[in-house]
Amino acid sequence: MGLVEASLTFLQEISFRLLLTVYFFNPVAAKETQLKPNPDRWVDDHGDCLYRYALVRVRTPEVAQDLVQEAFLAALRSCDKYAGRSSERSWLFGILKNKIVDYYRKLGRETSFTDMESLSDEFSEKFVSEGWWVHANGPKDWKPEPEVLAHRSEFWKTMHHCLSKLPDRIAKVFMLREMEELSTKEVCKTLTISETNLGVMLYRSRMALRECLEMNWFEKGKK
Amino acid sequence: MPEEDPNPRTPDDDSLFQGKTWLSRRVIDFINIWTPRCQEATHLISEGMDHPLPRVTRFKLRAHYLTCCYCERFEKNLRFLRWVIRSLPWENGDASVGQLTPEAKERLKRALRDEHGRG
Repeated sequence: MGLVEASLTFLQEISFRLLLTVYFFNPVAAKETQLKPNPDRWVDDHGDCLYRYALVRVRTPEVAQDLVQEAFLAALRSCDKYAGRSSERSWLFGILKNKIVDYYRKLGRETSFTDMESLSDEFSEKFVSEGWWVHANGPKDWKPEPEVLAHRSEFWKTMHHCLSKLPDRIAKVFMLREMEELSTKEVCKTLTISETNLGVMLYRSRMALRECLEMNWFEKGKK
Repeated sequence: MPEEDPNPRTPDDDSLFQGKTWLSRRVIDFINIWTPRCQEATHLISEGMDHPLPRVTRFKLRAHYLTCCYCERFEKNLRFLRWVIRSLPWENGDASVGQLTPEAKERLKRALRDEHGRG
């Protein structure tokens, strides 16, 4: 009896392993995960999303369109490398993200990111001469999460408005650091700027964005 | 007659030490000697978003927060900004943010069809 039970367990184990092997290494299934390029559908299904993703980051509609086109073309050329591990859209976003970083890299070679205009400290009016906050204009307690979750789309619009108000060069530095989540070293390398200048620009962008969001969202209805 | 404070704290100030009593003012004076002023503190807070600050600097900032809720709020606000920027699904925003015009879509499709045909 024990022998029969042991043989049955062994057979079950073997058949389970066989099933797993067939499931994961089946050439037919593998073929099915390979992407069939359909340019028209890609543009209809993902075009707007990719465009918005790029537009928030590069802020110029023409550049955003060019980047989306480059991403689609790159996707078309590398369809055979698509392993099916992520959704088609995530895969396209991955390609677009690389294109955006390439764009910034090129921009870093062509544009000076460290001119005096972008480094001037325009927040001195927030502090008294001794270096303390002007308390009446000091940061407010935002109590953010519930409010943001309740009005997600309006908050989104305000945030987008505030980002679009940032000076161009400062905004690009900020996007790379906060949106693309590059490390400070990577940002410096991409834009060929020093860590000190990066720190000043990030400070400036954070100050401006914080201020804008406070005025246009958290304190808007209170005044 | 006591001198009027040229930079009075706001009613929503919830710092631990607000300088309302003699002792509280002495504590603030003592902390102010050893900790950065607000303008410098904001630079350090921003820097702390990108690199871990030295332990002594972090301690000084914490001490500064005991007398200044504004700097503490500033740090919380920056952390919230980071959280929201990294968690909002930017690409799913509505059309008011931007969408491809029909012409742009057609141009894209043409470019892709050409490339596809060539491949």
